[in-house]
Amino acid sequence: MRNKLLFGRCIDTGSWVHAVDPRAKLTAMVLYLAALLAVGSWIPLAIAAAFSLAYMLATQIPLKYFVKAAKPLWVLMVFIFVIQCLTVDEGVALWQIGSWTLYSEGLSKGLIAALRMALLVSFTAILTFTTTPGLLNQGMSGVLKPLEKIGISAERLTLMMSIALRFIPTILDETHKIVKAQAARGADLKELPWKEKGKLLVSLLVPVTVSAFRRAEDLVLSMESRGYLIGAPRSEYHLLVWRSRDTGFILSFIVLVAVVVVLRFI
Amino acid sequence: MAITLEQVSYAYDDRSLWRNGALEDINLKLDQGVFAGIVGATGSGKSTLLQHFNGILKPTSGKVQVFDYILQAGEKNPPLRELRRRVGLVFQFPEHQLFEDTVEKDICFGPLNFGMSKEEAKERTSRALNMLGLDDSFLSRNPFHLSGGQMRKVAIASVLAMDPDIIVLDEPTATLDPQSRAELAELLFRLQRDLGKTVIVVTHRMEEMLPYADTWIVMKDGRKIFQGSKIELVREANTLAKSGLSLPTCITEWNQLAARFGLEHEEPCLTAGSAAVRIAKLLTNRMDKDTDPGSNSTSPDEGGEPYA
Repeated sequence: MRNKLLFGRCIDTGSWVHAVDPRAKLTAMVLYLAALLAVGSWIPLAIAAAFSLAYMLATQIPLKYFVKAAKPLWVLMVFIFVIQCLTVDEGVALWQIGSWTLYSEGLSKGLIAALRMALLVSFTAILTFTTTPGLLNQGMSGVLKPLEKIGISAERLTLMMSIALRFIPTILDETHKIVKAQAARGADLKELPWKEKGKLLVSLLVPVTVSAFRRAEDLVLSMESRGYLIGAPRSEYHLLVWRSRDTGFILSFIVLVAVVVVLRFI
Repeated sequence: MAITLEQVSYAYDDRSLWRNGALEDINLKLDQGVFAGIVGATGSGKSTLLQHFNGILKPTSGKVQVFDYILQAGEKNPPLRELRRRVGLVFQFPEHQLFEDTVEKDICFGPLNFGMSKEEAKERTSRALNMLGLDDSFLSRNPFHLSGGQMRKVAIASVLAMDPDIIVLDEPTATLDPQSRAELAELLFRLQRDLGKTVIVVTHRMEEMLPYADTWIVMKDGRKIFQGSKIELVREANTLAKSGLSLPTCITEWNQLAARFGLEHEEPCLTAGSAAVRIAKLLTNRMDKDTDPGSNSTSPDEGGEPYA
């Protein structure tokens, strides 16, 4: 379980992408998402893919980790592909089964949609691969700052997010431990028939939930005993300094969005 | 031979960037019916080692043999069910694994998984609970309403109820009160002595298991740096201490006493009571000698000669 879940793990290779300001990275990811949404045909998709590949290589992280990051969503990708194939009825008819016909446009749109999804997931993994959770959090609070003008507390939001992110690996480890403990009591996921697996799920969910609540209570107590207050003036461990490189980083994404949008409308 | 490990290594997240070696080239033999203590600093691989004994973890290289089951790196595991029943593994903080709404159901979980009948499981449940000093009134109680120590006992009972031949425990006494600790150590000893079970305990408090364990294993940085009897352990205590093992006072004190009076070849007295008796005997011998003018040739301060 642990080695399959790559989300939220920083891989430090010391590349220049790692050093980009987290605020710039977050903004860039939003721009990237916008660009992908505008991708509607093969040429912009190829441009976006080449652009993504260049940045992935720049991180100096082995490419297989990006592939792995997209893997958990393969069911969704197949689903998107199939839906497109089933519903689009433009272009040349390629194949016919009963009353249903596969059209060339459906096939092409399905492939584009699925590949877009794969690109999105594997590329946005750059964000978590190259940024430590602490910096990510600070970046998030920087990006959300403007919301304070309309009365939404950026600190509260980022605190919630950082606690949630922080506890993902902890709870996974805990789950892993309970899985092993129940396996030692004869409830092994691999060796049980399907009917028994339901009961096994209860034997995992109850202890994991109980421990999550216990941890939450402990956290509340320890934060309160240290006098934690939302909105109290607080200094930061890392000081974020905006450099021209960060502006350049964002600009490259703006160019990508512009190219893709222009290609869509000409 | 109940457990044999041959050149076993284990790495977490093998073949990834986060590869994390936990065991290195472990060779180990444990006979049936022994009471073994495993000690070592945090992160020395003790818990990882235990999880190889019932196939929860599979070695990344080398071979593990428990009874007739052979787990070899790179080969498919045999069905592990029966092995898991015969080797009961109690994890650290086992109270976290409780999930049923009554103590009885929770303890029955294991035995039922291993295909025992309901009646048999219930009977074993009550027996296991009694072994841990909890009476049948606990059967219908909700495990989440018990105290921490009681939950621990229920969780240990849930493994004992499977009637394993080998009982493996990972720091079972941590965070228990002194009396429960002593009772638990005593219980494990009875299981080994009276029922012939093999007991393997990881402990941070060596002194707790010293009166009972006949075999000791010392781990350091994923390697086994010592295996031997209690006497050998005491004899090599200084070398082990140099490699970072923290020794209980009873061993260091005895070794000082032994070095001072030349008792290295005696059975070590590691409890306060037995040490007091031994010291008293030393003193009487000395007083006898002091009043005996014949033996004044050696200075009494040296006191190096063995006493009868």
